[in-house]
Amino acid sequence: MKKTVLFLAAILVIFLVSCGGSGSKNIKLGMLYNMTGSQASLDGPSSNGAKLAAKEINAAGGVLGKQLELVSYDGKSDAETIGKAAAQLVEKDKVVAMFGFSDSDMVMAAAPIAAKAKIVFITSGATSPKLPSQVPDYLFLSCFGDNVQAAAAAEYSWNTLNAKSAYLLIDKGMEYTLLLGKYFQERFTELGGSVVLEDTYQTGDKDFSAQITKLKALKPAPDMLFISSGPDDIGTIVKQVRDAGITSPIFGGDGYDTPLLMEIAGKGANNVYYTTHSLMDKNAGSPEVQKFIAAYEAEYNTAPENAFAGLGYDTVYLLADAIKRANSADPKKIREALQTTKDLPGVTGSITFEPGSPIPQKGVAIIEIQDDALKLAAEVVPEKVPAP
Amino acid sequence: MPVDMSQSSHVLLEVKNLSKSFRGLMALQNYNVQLTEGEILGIIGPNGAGKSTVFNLLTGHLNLTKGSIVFRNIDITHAAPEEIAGLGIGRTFQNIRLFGSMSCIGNVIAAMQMKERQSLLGAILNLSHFREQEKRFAMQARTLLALFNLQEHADSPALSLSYGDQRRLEIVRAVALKPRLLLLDEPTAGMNPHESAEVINLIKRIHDEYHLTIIIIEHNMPLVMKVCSRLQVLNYGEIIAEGKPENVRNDPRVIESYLGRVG
Amino acid sequence: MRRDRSTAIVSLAAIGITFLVLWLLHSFGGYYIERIVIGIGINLILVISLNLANGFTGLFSLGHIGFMAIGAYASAILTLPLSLKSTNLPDLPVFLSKIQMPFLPAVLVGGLIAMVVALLIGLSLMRLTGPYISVATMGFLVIVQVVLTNWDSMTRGARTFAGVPEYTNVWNVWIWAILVLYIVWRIKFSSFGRKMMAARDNEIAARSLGINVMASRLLAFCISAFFTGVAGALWAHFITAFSPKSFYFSQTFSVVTMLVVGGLGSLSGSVVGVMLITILSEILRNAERGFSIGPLVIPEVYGASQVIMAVLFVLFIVFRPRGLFGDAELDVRRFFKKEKEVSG
Ligand SMILES: Nc1ncnc2c1ncn2[C@@H]1O[C@H](COP(=O)(O)OP(=O)(O)OP(=O)(O)O)[C@@H](O)[C@H]1O
Ligand SMILES: [Mg+2]
Repeated sequence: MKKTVLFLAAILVIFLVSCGGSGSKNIKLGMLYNMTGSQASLDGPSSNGAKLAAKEINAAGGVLGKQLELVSYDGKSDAETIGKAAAQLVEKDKVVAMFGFSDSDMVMAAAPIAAKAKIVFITSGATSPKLPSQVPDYLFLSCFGDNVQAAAAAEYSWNTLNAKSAYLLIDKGMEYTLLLGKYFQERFTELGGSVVLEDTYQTGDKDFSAQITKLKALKPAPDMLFISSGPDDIGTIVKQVRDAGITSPIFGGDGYDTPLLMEIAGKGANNVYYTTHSLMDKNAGSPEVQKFIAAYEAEYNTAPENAFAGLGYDTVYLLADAIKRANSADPKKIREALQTTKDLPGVTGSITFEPGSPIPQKGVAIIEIQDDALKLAAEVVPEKVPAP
Repeated sequence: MPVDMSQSSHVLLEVKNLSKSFRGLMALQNYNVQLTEGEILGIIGPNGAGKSTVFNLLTGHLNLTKGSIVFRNIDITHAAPEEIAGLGIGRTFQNIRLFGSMSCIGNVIAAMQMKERQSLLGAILNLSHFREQEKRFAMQARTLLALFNLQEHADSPALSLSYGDQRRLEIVRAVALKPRLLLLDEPTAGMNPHESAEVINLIKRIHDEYHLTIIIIEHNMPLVMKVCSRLQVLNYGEIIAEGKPENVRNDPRVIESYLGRVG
Repeated sequence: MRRDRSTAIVSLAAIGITFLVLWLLHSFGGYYIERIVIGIGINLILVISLNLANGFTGLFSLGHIGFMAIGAYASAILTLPLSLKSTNLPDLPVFLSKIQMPFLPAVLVGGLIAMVVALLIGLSLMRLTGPYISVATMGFLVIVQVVLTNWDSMTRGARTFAGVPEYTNVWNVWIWAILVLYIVWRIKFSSFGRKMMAARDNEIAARSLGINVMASRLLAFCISAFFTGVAGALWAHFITAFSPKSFYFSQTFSVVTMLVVGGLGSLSGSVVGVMLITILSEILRNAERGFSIGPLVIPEVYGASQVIMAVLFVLFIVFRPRGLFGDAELDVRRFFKKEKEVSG
C-alpha cells in the first residue's frame, strides 16, 4: 500500500513539472482539432491544411516579421478534454487567437473559454449559423453557415434544375441535418416550390425501405429529393434509393463531401448534387484549389481528403490577414481586424465579414456527379438567406 | 436435556407428507416429522437419500411438490427463505456458503442484524444509537466467535479460513441469527475425529445455552448417537426407520441400506 | 470510544487537508488546473456511486451514465435563463418554460428524477444477475439515448444544448464529492452495506439469514442513481454545452475503468483510481504532443495517450484483476503506525 502511495506521489511530481509554461517570440495561434475519435475524419485534414498554410506563410517571411506558431492539442472528440486543452492554450501557451473544430458540440466546449480570456475562436468547419450567438463577439465562422448553403441549394434547384416539388428526408440525429433541411424547406417554399413529403431517419440507420416505400407511393413523383444527411449514411441511402428504381436528382449539403458516397453508391451516385466549400479536384477545381492540392500533395503525399483541408488552410490565412491589417498580435485588435475582412481570396471561396456578422459572405460550390465524376456545376451566392 | 416425545409439550415444527420431485425423480416422499421444543433430531441415510432436500424445503430454498409445513403454528409451506429465517429457522449448508470476502465478524454480524433494524439516516449521520448498536453487534459477535475458538480470525476474510474453521464459522453465523430451530447439514464433514468431537460438544453446548431445537444431518454414526434424542433414517426419499438411536441402530432395514455399507 | 474519536479526528483532518490543497490549487494553479480539479471531483462522485451499485451488490450496471444524463438534462432545463428558454426550447411545457431554479434545488431535482427512474426500472432489473444485468442496464442506456434524441421539446433532440449557466466550481463540486464519499462510506459500514455485500458474496446464504436481497439491491441502485444524477447536473453546469451523445459509451467506459482500477467495493480504491487515471491520462495527453529530452526529439503522436492507457488497463486487469485495493479500505492509522515502526 505504501508503494502505491509513493507511486502516486511520483506521478504527481512528473505532472506538475510537465505543466510548466514555455516562452517564445513567435505569434502563437491555438489550434484545436479532434485528431482521434468520431470527428477525426473531418478534423485531421483540417489540421493538415492549417499546418500547410502556416508553413507557407512562414516561408514567405511570416507575419509582422514574426513566425506563426500553431500550438495544437488533440480534442479527442471529448468535451472535457477540449475544455482542458482550451484552458492550456489560454493560460500556458498564451495564444492570441484560437481556431478549429467542425462540430457544434466541440466548438461550444472551447469557444466560451477563449471568450472568457477575450480571445477569438474561429470555427473552420462547424456550419451552424446559430453558433456565434451562443458566444457573442468572440466566435466566428470561416466557413459558410448552413442557412447559406441550403439557400444556395434551393435556388439552384429552382432556377437550374427547374424543380417545383421536392421530397425531404432528414436525419433527426444531428443538429446539422435538422437545420439544413429546415433552411432548405424555408427557402424552397419561399421561391414557390412545394415540399410534398417530409420524412426522417436516425443517424446510423441501415435500412431505409420504410421511407422509400412512402416515397415511391407519391403520385406524381417529386421533381427532386433533398436528403439532409451526414457523411456516414449518405452512401447507403443513395444506393438504396437508386436500387428502388428512383432516378430523380438527389440534393444535399456538405455532408455528402466524402469519398464514401461514390464508393458505396457506385453508379447510383450519378445525378446527385450537393453544396460544399469547394471542389477539391486537381483538374476541375479553381486555380487556387489546384495550387492548394499540389502543395498539399507535396507535403503529405496524398490529395486533400475533403474540403475540410481547404477550410483549415483558409482559416490560418484569414487569421494571418487579420493580424497583418491590425499590425499587432493583440487579441483585441485581431478581433477588430477580423470583423473588417474583405474579399480575402481562399481555396473555399473568398471571405468577407459584413459589419456585425460573425458568419462570412461566401460563395457556395454546387457539385454535380455525372458519368461517375464530380463536376463543379456552379458557384452560387444566394440572393436571400433564411435567418439563423 | 432431551424432552420425552410423549410429553408433547410445545410442538415447534409439524411437517406433513412433504414430497419433492425433480423432473419426475422423487427426491422426497411423504416425509413427516413433529418436533417438540428442545429436541435434537438426527437425519441419516446414504448419499442421495433426500436429506438435504428436507432442509431446502423447510427453509424455502426449494418449492415443494406436496405437503405442508407449520412452524410455531404458522403455515410456512409457501414462505420465502428470508421470511422463514425471520420466523426463526437458521441453517448451515452442506457445501459451505460463507460471505467469502467479508471478515468473519462481518459474517456473524450480517446474521445478527436481522432482528435489529437500523435506520438509514441513523447510519449515515452516525447517531449515537447507531454507534452503540454497532458496538453491541461487534461485542456479541466476538463472544460468539470465541465460543467456537475463532476469535483470532475475527477480522480476516472468511475465505482465508481453513475448511474446518469455515464450517464452524457457518454454525456461528446461523446461531447469531438467534433461531428457534437450527438446521445443521453435515456439520463435521471433512473434519478429523478430534475436530468432529469438539464440534459435537459445541453443538450440545449451544443447544443448552441458547435453548435451541436442532436437526442434524450427519454421516458420523457415533457422533449422532451421542447427541441426538431421536433419529430418522432416509433412503430413496422415504423414512425407513425412526426412533431412539439405539433402536434405530439395530433395525435390520437400516443395517442393510445404510449402516451395512458404511461399516 | 477512543477508536471512534481517533477515526473522527483522522476524517476531519483529511477533509481539512483536502480543502487546503483545493484552496492552494484554486489560488495558484490557474484555470487549467482548476478544470482538472473539478473534473476529478465530478468523477469521484460518479465512480463512488457506481461503486455503491456495482461494487457493493456485485450487479455490474453499465447503464449508470443514463442517470448522469437524466440529472444533467433535468438540471439544465430547470436553470436555463428564461430568455434562452424562449429561443432554444420554445416548445417546453408551460410549467417549465416559466421557471428558472437556483443551482442547488435544480441539482437535487436532477438527482431525484434519476432516483425515481432507477426505482422504476430497478423493480424488474434487480431480479436479474450476472451478465444479464449488465446487458439489461446497457439497454437502459440506449433507451435513455433514444429518448433524449427524440424528445425535442425538452432536450433539443440531438442538437447541442447550450447556454447552461456555469455554476459549478471547485467548492460546490468537492463539497458534494466529500459528502457522497462520507455517505457511501457510512453505508458500507452499516447493516445496509453488510446486506448488500452478503447478497453479493452468496445470495442463497444471505436469504437464509433473513436478508431481503431484492430490497437491498434496490436501495443501492437508487441511492447510486441519485448521486449519479447529481454528478450529471454538476457536469452540465461545468461543461455548459452538451448533447445526448455526451452521455454514452465512451463516458461509461471512462467511469468503469476508474472503478475497476481502484477495486470493486473499495472506496479508497475509487478515490485513488479517479486520481491516478485522471493524472496519468493528463500526463500522456501532454506528452503525446511531442517533446524532447536533450537531443532526443519525440514527435507528436495523437491518440498515443488513449492507446497507452488502454494497454495499461489491459495489463492491469491481467495482473491485478481485483484492482488496486480489492474491496479493502486504506487505513490511515495503520499506515502511520507502520511508518513509525520503519523509521524508529
Ligand atoms: N436442485 C436439484 N435439482 C435436481 N435434482 C436434485 C436437486 N437437489 C437434489 N437433487 C437430487 O435429489 C436427490 C436427493 O438429494 P439430496 O441432496 O437431498 O441428498 P442427500 O441425502 O443430502 O445426499 P448427500 O448425503 O449426498 O448429501 C438426489 O438424487 C439428487 O441428485
Ligand atoms: Mg446432502
